[in-house]
Amino acid sequence: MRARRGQSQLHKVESGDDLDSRRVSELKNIIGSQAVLHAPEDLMLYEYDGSVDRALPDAVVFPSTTEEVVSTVCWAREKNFAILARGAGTGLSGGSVPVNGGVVIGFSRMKKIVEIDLANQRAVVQPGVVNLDLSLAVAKSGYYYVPDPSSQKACTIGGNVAENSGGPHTLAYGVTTNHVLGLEVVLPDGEVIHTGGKPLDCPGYDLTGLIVGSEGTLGIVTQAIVKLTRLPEAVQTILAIFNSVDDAADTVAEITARAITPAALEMMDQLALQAVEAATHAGYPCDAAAVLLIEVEGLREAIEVQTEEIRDACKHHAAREVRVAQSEVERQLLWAGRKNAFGAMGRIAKSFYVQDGVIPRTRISETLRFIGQVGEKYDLRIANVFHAGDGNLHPLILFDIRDHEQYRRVLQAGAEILAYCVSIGGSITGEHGVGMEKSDLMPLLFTENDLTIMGKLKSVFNRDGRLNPSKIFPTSKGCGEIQVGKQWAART
Amino acid sequence: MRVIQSAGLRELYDIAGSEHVIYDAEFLRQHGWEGELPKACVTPSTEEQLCEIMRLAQAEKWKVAPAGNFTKVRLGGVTEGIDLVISLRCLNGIIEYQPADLTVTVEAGTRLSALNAALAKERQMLPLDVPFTATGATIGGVMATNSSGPRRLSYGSVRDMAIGARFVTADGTLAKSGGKVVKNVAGYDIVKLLIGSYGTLGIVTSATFKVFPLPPATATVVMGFATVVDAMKARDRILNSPLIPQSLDLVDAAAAELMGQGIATESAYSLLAAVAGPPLMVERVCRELPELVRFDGVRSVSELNGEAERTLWNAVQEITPLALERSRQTTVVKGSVVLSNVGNIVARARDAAAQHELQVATVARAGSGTVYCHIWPARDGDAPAERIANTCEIIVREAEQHGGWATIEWTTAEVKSRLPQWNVGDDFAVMQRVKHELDPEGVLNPGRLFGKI
Ligand SMILES: Cc1cc2nc3c(=O)[nH]c(=O)nc-3n(C[C@H](O)[C@H](O)[C@H](O)COP(=O)(O)OP(=O)(O)OC[C@H]3O[C@@H](n4cnc5c(N)ncnc54)[C@H](O)[C@@H]3O)c2cc1C
Repeated sequence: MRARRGQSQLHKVESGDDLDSRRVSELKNIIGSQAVLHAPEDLMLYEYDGSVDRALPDAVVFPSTTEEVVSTVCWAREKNFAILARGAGTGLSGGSVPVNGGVVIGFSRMKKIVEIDLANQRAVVQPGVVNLDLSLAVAKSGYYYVPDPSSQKACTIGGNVAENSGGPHTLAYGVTTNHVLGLEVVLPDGEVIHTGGKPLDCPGYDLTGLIVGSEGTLGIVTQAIVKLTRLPEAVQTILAIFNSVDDAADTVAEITARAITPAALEMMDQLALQAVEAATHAGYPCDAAAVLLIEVEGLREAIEVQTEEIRDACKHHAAREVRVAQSEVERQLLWAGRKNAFGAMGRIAKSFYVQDGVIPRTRISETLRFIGQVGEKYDLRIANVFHAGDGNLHPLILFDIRDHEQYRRVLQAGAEILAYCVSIGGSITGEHGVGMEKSDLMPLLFTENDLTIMGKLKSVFNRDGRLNPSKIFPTSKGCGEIQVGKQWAART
Repeated sequence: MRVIQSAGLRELYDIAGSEHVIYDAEFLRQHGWEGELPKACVTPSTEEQLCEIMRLAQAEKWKVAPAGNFTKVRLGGVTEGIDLVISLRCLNGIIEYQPADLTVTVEAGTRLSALNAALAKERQMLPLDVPFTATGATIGGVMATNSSGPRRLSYGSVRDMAIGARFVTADGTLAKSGGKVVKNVAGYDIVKLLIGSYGTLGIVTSATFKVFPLPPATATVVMGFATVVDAMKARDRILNSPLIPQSLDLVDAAAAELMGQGIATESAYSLLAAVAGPPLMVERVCRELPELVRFDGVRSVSELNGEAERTLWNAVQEITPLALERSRQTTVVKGSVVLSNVGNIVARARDAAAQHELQVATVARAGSGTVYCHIWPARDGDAPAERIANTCEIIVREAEQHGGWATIEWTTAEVKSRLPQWNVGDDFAVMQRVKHELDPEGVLNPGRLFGKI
C-alpha cells in the first residue's frame, strides 16, 4: 500500500532514446553492464520509497565493492550528477527519493555479513544486509542485533544507520545510534574514511555519532561495525485491552511511574486493531478502544515481578482484560500483527500517510484527543499504531490518493499534528527522518542559528551538496547546494 | 592584583559583573594549570553573558578555555596560550525535571552530585558514575571529557543518555541540537560531536538527559583470581550468560590497596560484579555467578551489601583522583580495546611498569573494554619521566595492535612532551575540517584534544 503524491509527478518518464548512451557505457565500464539500470521502465522502480514523494533517477547502479562506490562517486562528481544511496527503499520520509534526479547507488549487491565476532560482541556488515538477517545469523549463538524496525524483514543496515532507526524493542536498549560503533564512509568527493571501531570511546570527535541519523546527506556508508547483544533468558508478552483510549494512555504513564522499563510498550487504537485483525488474525479484539502490547524480558525472577506490576497497573486503569501470551506461537502472532500494521491499512483504505511525531510520554492521551479532533476537522480517518513507551506516535491518516483535494487535507492535517507535538515539547520525527517530507517543518524545532551550524557540518562532508540534495534542510536553506543535473537527457 | 591594561578586559567586567571576573588567576595552579596563566577567569551567570563574552573574545583574538569546577584541568593535552578561562560553575541548576517522563534538563555547570541528589528524591538517577563526582565534577565537564564509569556496561555512557544540548560556538552563537524527548531524529546529532570534544567545538550551556529508576535492590559479588587469564575466562563466561551484571570491573591487588578495599587485596586480580534489580533476581545472580565460574580458577568469593558495597564502588569510581594524590608523577593511561584484548593490556601494563621500576594499579571495565592504568614511581623522589613515557608507549602500541586505542589522560607536562606522535586514523582530516568549520580561528581550547585538533 503506497500512497503517492498525485500532483508531484516531478519527472515524466522520457522516451528511452533520450538517454545519453555514452554516459551509460561509461558507468557500465566502471561497475559492469549488469549493474547499471537506465531504461525508463527500470528506473520507475526507484522513484519512490515508503513515503508519498516520488522522483525519477537518471540511472541506478549496484556496486559490489567500496572501490566501485568510489569510482561511481568520482564519475558523478566529474559529470556533475547528484548521487544518492538507497537501501531497501522502505524509508518513510522520502530519504531515498532522488529529488533532482541523478545517480542512485543501490546496495543490493553489498549484503555480506563480513565478520561475526562473538567474543567481542561485534559484527561487521555491508550496508545492504537486511536488518533481520543479521539477528538471524547470530541467534543460534544466543545473540541479536537490538534495533528492530517493524520493516526489519526488508530494510537494510545502511538505511537504518542513515535514519537512526528505532523499533518496538528500542525502548529499553536504545536505537540504532546506540548500537553502531564504526563506519566506513565514502564522501561525495571520493574520499574514504573509517570512523570509530570495534572498541568504545574512539579518541577525537565522534564522527560515527554524527553520521548515524544524517539521512544519507553526509556520506555513503559502505560498512558498519555494530554491537551484538546477548538474548535474554526469558520473555513475557502481555496484551492489555481497554475500553477507553485515555485509560490505555494513563497506563503507559503508570508503568513508568512504577519504575518499570519494559523491552517494548506499543499501543494500537480501534481503527488500527480492525485493520490489523483483518490482515493478520492475531486475536486482537476489534471492539476495544485501544490495546497495549507490552513485553518484558530478562531473568525469570525480574520478569515475574514486572509482569505482576504491569498487570496491576493495567487493572488500576480499568483494563478490560490482561492477557499473557501462553506460547511462543501466540507471542509471534501478536508481534506479526503489530509489525505488519502499516501494511494492514490496505484492508481499510486505499492509501495512508504516516506521521512520526514525538511527545513527552506523559502527554499521550491529550495528544491522541487532539489527533482525533484534527481528523474530524479535516474529515479524515486516522488510525494510531505507535511506540507508546517512548512517546513516538504514528498517526496513520487514511485517504485515497486519486482524490487530490483529500490529499491536500491529509498534508495539512499531518502538519497540524506535528506542530502540536512540537508545541508540547516534542519533535517532528522520532525515527523516520526529516527527509524531503518534513524539511519545511524544521524551523518549528530549530532556529536559524541551529540550522546554520548543521549546514556548516554538512558542508564539511558534502561540500557542494551533491549527495542526497534537498533533504532535511528547509528549501530556503540549501546550505551550499549546487545545481546539479536534473535530468540525464537535459545535460547533453 | 595585576593592573588591568586592556579595554577588552575591562569590558569583561561590564558583561559579567565585578564579582565574576578574576584577573589574578593564580588559583588555577592549585587545580593543576600547567601553561602560562590566562589574563582572566570569568564565570558568566547567563547564556547571554556567555555569548557576549565569546563575541568579545573573538574581537580581542583571545584563546578561550572553557571549564566547569576545575576538577580535570590537567586531563588531556596542554593548551597553548590561553587568554581567558570561562567557568560555567554559575550556570548551575535544574531547568526542567519531569520524573514521569524520565527526562531532566540541567545547566552545564551543575554538579553531577547535586543533580543525582535531586533525582534520588524521586527514586531516579543519572547513572554516570564518573570520577571526580565527589570533588565537584560538573555536567559540562563530564560531557566534554566523555567520562564514564562502571555502570556503562548496562546504561552506556554520556552519548547514550544525552538527548539534547544547547551550546555556544566560538563566535558567540547560541545553538542547540536534539531536544527534550527521548526519541528524536530531527537534524544532525551535534550532541554526539560535543561529547568528548574537550570543549574544542563549543561550550555546552545545558543538556537534557534520559534518567532511570533506582534499582530496588543491589548486591556485589567479589571473585578473586590468581591470574588475569583466569579472570578473563570467568568474565567471558559471565558475559556469555544471561546473568550479565550491571557492572563488571577487574581490579588488580595494587588498585585494591590504593582504594583501601581489603576484600580485593588478597588475590592478584578480582572481578567485581554489581547486580541490580528486584530482590529475588539479585539473590539468584549472586548465588549463580560463583557457580558459573567455578572451573575458571576462582580462588575466593564474597558478597557485599549495603554500606560496604557502596564504599567499594565509590572507591572504584574515584580511583583516578586517589591515584593522582598518591604522587605528583601519577600518569593515567586509558585503554579502549575489544573485550578479548583487556587481559593483554592489563598484563602488558603490569610488565612494562615492572620493567621500568614503576608502580601500576589497574581498574578495567571488563565488560566494556575500558582499561585505566594508574602509573607512578616505585620510589619516592624518583624522577622517571622518560620511563613513564616509555611505559605509556608500550601500552598504546599494545592497544593499537589489536584495533584499539590508548590515550594518556593524566600525566605531567614533562611526560607529555616526551610522548610520541599520535597515530591518527584516515578520518582525522575530517575532524580537522569539523573543527575549522565551527571554530575557524582556533579560539576554543587549542591543543587540548587528542591529536592537537
Ligand atoms: C511497514 C514499515 C514499517 C516501518 N517501521 C519502522 C520502525 O518501526 N522504526 C523505524 O525507525 N522505521 C520504520 N520504517 C521506516 C524504514 O523502514 C526505516 O527508515 C529503514 O531504516 C529504511 O531502510 P531502507 O534500507 O529501506 O532505506 P531506504 O529507504 O532505501 O533509505 C533511507 C535513507 O537511507 C539512506 N541510505 C540508505 N543506504 C545508505 C547507505 N549505505 N549510506 C548512506 N545512506 C544510506 C538513503 O539515502 C535514504 O536517505 C518502516 C517502514 C515501513 C515501510
